[in-house]
Amino acid sequence: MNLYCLREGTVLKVKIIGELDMNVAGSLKERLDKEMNAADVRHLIFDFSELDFIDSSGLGVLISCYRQLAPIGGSVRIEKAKQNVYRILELSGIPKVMAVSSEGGDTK
Amino acid sequence: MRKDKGQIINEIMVQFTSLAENVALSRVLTSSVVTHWDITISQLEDLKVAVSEAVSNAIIHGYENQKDGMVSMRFLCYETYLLIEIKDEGIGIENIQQAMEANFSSDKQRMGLGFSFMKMFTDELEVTSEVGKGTTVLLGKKMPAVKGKE
Ligand SMILES: Nc1ncnc2c1ncn2[C@@H]1O[C@H](COP(=O)(O)OP(=O)(O)OP(=O)(O)O)[C@@H](O)[C@H]1O
Ligand SMILES: [Mg+2]
Repeated sequence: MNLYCLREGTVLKVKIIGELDMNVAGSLKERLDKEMNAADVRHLIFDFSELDFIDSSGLGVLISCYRQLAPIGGSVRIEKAKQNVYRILELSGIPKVMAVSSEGGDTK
Repeated sequence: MRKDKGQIINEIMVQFTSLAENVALSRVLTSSVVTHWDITISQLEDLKVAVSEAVSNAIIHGYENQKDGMVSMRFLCYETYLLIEIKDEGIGIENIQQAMEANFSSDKQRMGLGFSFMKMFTDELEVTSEVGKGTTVLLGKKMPAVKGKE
């Protein structure tokens, strides 16, 4: 997994490249916490255009970010998810609490 | 689950240490084994998620993230069926029925989605476990007839 973070004010944009499973979930969360603690980040936007795989361990990271940001009026958004990743996000119920869109622009 | 599936035409057995990085290996193995059949990419993606969940559970829960356990994976290939057995010799599951309920997790950081995905993405799912001995998960998936053989 490769990770690119870009901060603009209270928004942190994160691009994840590769696969998001239990092997990388821990280090991803650590890195996100570091970025979020370093500044007043309220909103997270994930660019999933180059994310090839996600499972429940990856979904766990997304939910934990949501739980962190929601109480302080923040949000988590997922953009450009590939079909297989989008499907897993849909089935998990995550679109109930965060905006999710596919690479084709489908929105949940 | 092995009944009525016909003859086993190929059997593959692999064992690996309970390292997090081996979850990726389990998916690669699965992709490689199913090239025998002509399945769609989305079916393969589904199967990869199911396998990833079972192997992750073996490492995270079965071995409690200790890196000295062994996970074994066995692929039983029938003409039009694939059985994947994922086995650990970890702590075991006390209440299998509860463990398999949607959104149940013994860890409050987790969402309890693993077994739900395994159910959704397979045709059969069987879990056997004994506390202190370990857990075996069987994932069964129908496969199309191999081209030129039907
Ligand atoms: N191989 C195993 N050994 C011991 N306990 C297990 C094993 N697999 C599953 N469990 C138990 O079953 C529960 C449910 O598993 P499931 O995969 O559905 O959810 P989870 O792993 O807790 O969360 P998620 O999969 O969403 O990260 C686990 O919390 C754990 O208590
Ligand atoms: Mg799990």
